[in-house]
Order: sequence, then structure tokens, then C-alpha cells
Amino acid sequence: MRRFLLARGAQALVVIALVATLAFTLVHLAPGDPFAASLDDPTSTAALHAQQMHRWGYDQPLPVQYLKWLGNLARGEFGWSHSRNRRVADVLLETVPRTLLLMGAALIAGVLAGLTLGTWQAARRGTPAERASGTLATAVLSVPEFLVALAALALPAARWHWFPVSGIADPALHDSMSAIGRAWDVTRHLVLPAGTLALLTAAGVSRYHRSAMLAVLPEEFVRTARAKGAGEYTAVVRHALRNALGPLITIVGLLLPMLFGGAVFVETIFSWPGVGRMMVEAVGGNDYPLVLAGVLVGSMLVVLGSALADVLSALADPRLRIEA
Amino acid sequence: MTAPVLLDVRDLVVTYASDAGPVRAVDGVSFAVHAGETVALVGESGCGKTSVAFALMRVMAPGARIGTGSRITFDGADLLALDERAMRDLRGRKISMIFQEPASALNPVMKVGAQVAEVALLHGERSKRAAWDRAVAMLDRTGIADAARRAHQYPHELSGGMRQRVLIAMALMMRPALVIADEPTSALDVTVQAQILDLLRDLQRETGMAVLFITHDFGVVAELCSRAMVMRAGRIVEDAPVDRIFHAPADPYTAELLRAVPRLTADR
Amino acid sequence: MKFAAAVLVLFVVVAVAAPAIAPHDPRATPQSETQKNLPPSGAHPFGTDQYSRDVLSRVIYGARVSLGVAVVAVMLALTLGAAVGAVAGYVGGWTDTICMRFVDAVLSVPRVLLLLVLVASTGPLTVGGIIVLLGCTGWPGTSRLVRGEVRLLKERDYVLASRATGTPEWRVFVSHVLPGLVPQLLVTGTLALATVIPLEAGLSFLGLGVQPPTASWGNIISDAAERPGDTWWVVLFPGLAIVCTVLAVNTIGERLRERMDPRERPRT
Repeated sequence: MRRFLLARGAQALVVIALVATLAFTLVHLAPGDPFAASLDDPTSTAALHAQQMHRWGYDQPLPVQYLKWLGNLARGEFGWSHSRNRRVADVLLETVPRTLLLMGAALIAGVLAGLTLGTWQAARRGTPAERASGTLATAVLSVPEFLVALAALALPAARWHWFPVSGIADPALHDSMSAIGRAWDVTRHLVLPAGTLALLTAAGVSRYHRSAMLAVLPEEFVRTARAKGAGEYTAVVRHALRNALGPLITIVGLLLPMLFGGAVFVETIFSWPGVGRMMVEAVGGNDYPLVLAGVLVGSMLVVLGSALADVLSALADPRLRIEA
Repeated sequence: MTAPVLLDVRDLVVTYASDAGPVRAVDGVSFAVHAGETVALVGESGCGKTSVAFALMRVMAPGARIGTGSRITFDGADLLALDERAMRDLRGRKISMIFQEPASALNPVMKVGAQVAEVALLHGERSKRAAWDRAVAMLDRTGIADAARRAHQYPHELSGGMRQRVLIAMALMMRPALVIADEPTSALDVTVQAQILDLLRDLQRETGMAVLFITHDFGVVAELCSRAMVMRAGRIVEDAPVDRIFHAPADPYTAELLRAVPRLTADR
Repeated sequence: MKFAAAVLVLFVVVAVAAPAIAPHDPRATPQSETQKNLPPSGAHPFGTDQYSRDVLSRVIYGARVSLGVAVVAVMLALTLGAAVGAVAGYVGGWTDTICMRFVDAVLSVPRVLLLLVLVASTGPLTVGGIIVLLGCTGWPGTSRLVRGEVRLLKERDYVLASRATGTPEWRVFVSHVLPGLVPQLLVTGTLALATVIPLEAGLSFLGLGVQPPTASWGNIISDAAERPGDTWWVVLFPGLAIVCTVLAVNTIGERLRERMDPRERPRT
């Protein structure tokens, strides 16, 4: 088991290092520069521009910039965000937890809903309602995240006023609220963006989980459970479901990139101030250190998430627990 | 035979849906099992023995149907007329089943103790603690050494013979009136087979349960059973006391099957 | 399947015949306050946007861009993927290891992030630029597939035979190995379309893809992104176009896959 953990961790690190290098190369091969906008400013001069480029080290050869960047990364220093005039690390400290909250809520809600739906579909296989729900799940998976988010924004938020339209908290009142009031405030803001991502997660999970359940239901031990006097629910949920959960963790690992990609759109549309929205803004503002940090953090979330999924699925199966 | 009739099967038909229309796996089978009796249902694989067993428990695969003319009476009740809830109450408590493949019949992600205790919990036991203790006692009775520790293990940590003992413990937990044993030893090594058969015989004497023993092995029949029914292609071709089956088989198919057995334990 | 194909054919016809079908010039912005944000009506079946442009015409022209970008980008991705996969599979050894590690790395980054980085480094894109970006981020999956197949196929007799006659390696690949891969590539390509269409739409929606005034399904929607509920028609119709296309492409892709792989067929 320890060897497996080490190997999986090393693999994740290699991938992250490769991604970092790849992203650095791409960004710094760019024709533009972070201070190009200041050239349009009449009060600015070419000399001032050159001075800024020099000050932040953009005039040094690429390999030197790369090594410096790596050295800084190792010390947890991500650089300076020119568009926000703040340390990138500080921006990350603010945005990453918000994205984790969004994705975590979406993941939990989506997986629970997907499991319920998939289990139900497998147990009621072939009935008209089951078929309709399967078609619906496929249809949902064909709708891009930003359209779901726009629909959620248009109806429950803007038209019916069930939930706030944007942001993570009430800009005026949040600070004057009690602790419970604040939590409730954030929850209300969380429902639609997380719900959008959860819907897609649920559709994806239900499709995989349905086939996993269909593979387990004919197993002999499910019949054993029935022969003991177990009802439909006990046989399906207590016996079959637990055995169908093995692949689930892997599936969630596979869904993570999709979920993060979706978060980029959802955060932008709902003005959720997380990593995804930060990335889009950084790209628009030519804020290279921020773009790099965003890619790095995003890939790390996904890579570590998948690694964690692999480890968990190895732990979850008592048959693998000993041998591995 | 003075014991009352426990199970009475009349004209049992089981059909499976297939691409080429329904296929009759059991084609009009009638027999009776008396209380406390050990009866064998013998036949080659694929003759419909297991389908009979599943039909008695009403745990058939989806797509399998019992014919409309069939009647199964157990302990005076019409099994095919019972609703699912009443049937559930019967399963595991009055009728139970020992399965062929102990490796696949146990839930791989559940401790074996919990799987045995579940039977008690499904049939009225309220306390989890008490159910667990009863499970450990039952595992102990089926000859599992160090049952209290073994109960905490998962099926893959046990040997084939021990897994079969777990299944037996599960089947006998509620002291049922009828146990259907579907080839309980065919997946085991020969030495383990003998131990399991001894165990079943002991438990049968102790509890007075009736056993419907499904097998293809005449050696097992001779050792355990008082009566045997020979099944072929979905029908029972002969139903007679074991002595008569071995010494004067009435049906040519029975005789043929007997010739295929290398050495008979009945020689003793 | 037939319905899905019909939908797809319809969209392709619309894209090709856009100038003949579109009722208005998709870029025409009448400088009239009364033409702004009109709901659907006889004159403008899909309404007008905030610049008074006819949404129906924009959706029709958008089909050209959105479908065109997707198809060319997928073909580019398949070509790149096939090339990398073939080299990795043929050469093996270190080349193979490096290629596949690289593929692992790229596959583990959300594609949207990769595209954002690329856009950050290139600045605002032309339609050609978007195609290149989408193509360059879409090949790793294909390369894995092709590599696997090449490793299987290159040991086949007819491939060995043609190599033995002294044909150069790349010609063996093109004339013998590649044709065997066509069915697989067709399936991969179709399913890739279903991911590329939403990606392009998403990028254009964020203002980082196809730049206005050129219409693509994604950037039509971004014109109403601030308040999608007020001018719902600007979101709904191009949105429906995207969903219908993706659904049709997905359906066709899944059917093709089932048809190609007999093991998949019994799956329900």
C-alpha cells in the first residue's frame, strides 16, 4: 500500500511539474506583454514601460525567468499580479477556498443525486419512467455548462427572485450579519452556481452508476440477500449499491477536469469570485503571473483529486486493502 | 411415511424469456417433501434443478416466470398466492437456501458476521448486539474455529470450506422447516466436501429440518438422502426411495446416470 | 439515430446555404432605437439583439462558423493525434515513454484552462487561430488510441510482409495500418465534435473565441449574458442550436461505437 501511495504521489508531481513548464513556456512565448496597456496611456512613456519590464524581470532571457519562477514557486511565492496590484499568493488564498466550496458543494450534491438516480434506474430498468430519465440525463450532458448557468440566472434568480443573481455574499449587509446569518447568506448565493455544476455531475454519475449497478444486480450475493428475506430496498441498497461504488470514486476523479472547466463558466456567469473567474479576468488583463498561478492551481486540484480518488478506491475495497 | 407433508409442488412450470421466445426450463414438475425428510433432486447440469429451487423461494432471475397452472403449497400456505411482503417474511425464516458457489454468494464488502446477523435482524431481532452474538454462536455451531474473530473478517479472507459454513450458518440461523441445499459441496475440495456433508447431516438430526438436496452426485445422494427424484430436461423421470433407485432403477435414464458414477458409496 | 442524422444534415444544409436562407444581413446594425432587443415576431422570428441585429440570421450564419470551426479543429486534432500516436507506437522505447507522459500531463489539465493559457499567450484570435487552438488541445486522447492500435497492428502478418519487401515505414503505416484505424477514428472524431462545439461556444461566450461582429453560436449568446432573462430569445435560440447539434452528434457517435464494437451491443 505504501509503495502504491508513493508511486501515485510521484506520478501526480511529475504531471504537475510538466504542466507548470508547459504553461510557463506558452505564456512567455506570447507576443504581448503585461504592460502593453500602459503604452496607450498618454502619460506613460516608452522609457517608463521599459523600466517596468525591467523591474519585474520581463527583459531577462526565458530560461532565467523560468528558473527564478521555479525558485519562487518552491518558496510559495507566485509573483505579483499587475492587474490587481497584489501578491498572487494573496489572491489565491482568497479565491481557492471559494472554488473549493463551489466544487465541493457541487460534487457532494451531484454525486448523491447521481447515485440515487442511477440506483433507481438500475432497479427499475426498462420501465417507461426509467427510460425517460435516461434520455433526460443524456440530454443534460449535451447542454454546455454556460447555458445551464444562464438558464439558472434567467429564471430562478432574475425572474422569480428565489436566489441572489450574483456574487458570494450580500455586498451591503453581509458584514453586519451574525455568524449564522452569514453562513445562510453564502449558502443562498451558493445554490444556483453549485446547483448548475451538480446537475451535470449528477447526469454523468447516474449514467456510469446505472451500468455499474446493472453489473452487480445479477450477482449471486444479491440473490442470497433476497433468499434471507431482505426486501427490494435492502437487497439493492445495502448489498448491490455498496458493491457498485468501487468504480464511482474513479469516475469522480475523471469528472474533476470537466467540473473545473465548468466552474470557469459558472463562476464567470454568477460572478463567483473564485479561481475560474480569476483566470478569465487574468487572461483579459494579460496578467501572466496570475494566469500561470491559475493554471497551476487548477491542474493541481484536478491531479491531486484524481490521485486521491485512486487511493480512496484502493482503500474502499477490502479485497484490495490487504494485497495492495 | 407418517410425517406430514411440508412442501407440495404441483405441475411446476418455469419459463425463461429468450430471443427465440419463452423457453421451458422446468416442464411440469410435481413432488412433495415431508417434514424432517432429506430428499435429493438429482440430475445433470442444465436439467432445471436450480430453476426449481429458485422458483420455490421465488427468487428467480428477471425474465423467468412460473406457469399459471403451477401450485406450490408450503406448510398449508399457497406460496404463489402470497404477496411479496409475506413471502419475504417466509424466506430465511421458514424456508432458506444454501447456495452453490460460496465465493460469489457472499457479499464481498460485508463482514461475514454481519451477513449472518442480518438474517436475524430481518426477522424480528431488534438489537444489533444480540444479532451479532447469535451470528457468532451460529458460526461456531457450523464448526468455524475462533468464530468471534472470524466474524469480523471479509469473505475473501476465508477458505472455501469456511465460506460454505458461513452460508450454512446463514441458512440455519432461524431454524427453518425446510432448507434447500443447491449443490452445496460441488465447489469444494473432496476432503472439505465430506466435512460439510457431515455437518449438514448433524444439523439435520439436531433441528429436525427437512432438506431438499439438489445435486448431480449420486455419492452424496447415497450418503445423506432417504429418497431421490431424478430430473431430466425439466421433468422428474423417477421418484423413489434411495435403496430402490440404486438397486432397481425404473427409468432407463436413471440407470444410465448411475452407470456414469465411478464408485458408489452405497456399496458399503 | 435517423432523427439525429436528419437534425445534423439540416444544420449542415443551413450552414452551407446561409446566404440564401438568412432573411437579413447578420452584421447589419440599423441605427434605430426601435429595432433594439425586439422579441420574436413575424419580421424577426428569433427577435433582435441589443445592436438591432436579426438573431435568426445570426444563428444561421453562426452555424457556418461554429460547425466549420468544430469540424476542421477535430480533423486537425485527429491528424495530430494519429501522427503522435503512430510515432510513439512505432518507435517505442524512450520516444514512446516521453510522448505518453506528455499526453498524461495534457489530459490531466482541464481543457478549458489549457485554452485560457493559450488565449492569454496569443491575444484575441482569428477564426483560424481558434481552429488551431482547439486542434492543438484535442489530440492527446486520439494519440493514445492510435498508439495502442499501432502496437497491436504492427505485428500483423500483412504489415510484416510489406515491411519485409522494403517499403518505407511511413508508407506501411499510411497504406496498411491507417486504413485499419479509420472506423475507430470516425467514432473518436464524432464524439470529439460533441466536446469541441460547446468549447468553442464557451470560449466565444467568454469573449475569448470568435470575435464579433462575426457570428458564432457562442458569441451571439454573450451579447445577452448580463441579463439573460430580459432578452431570452438572444440566449434561447442559439442555445437550442448548440444543444440540438451536440445531442445529435452524441447520439450518432454512440451508435457508431456500438456498431463498431460487438461487445458494446448488449449494453442497454
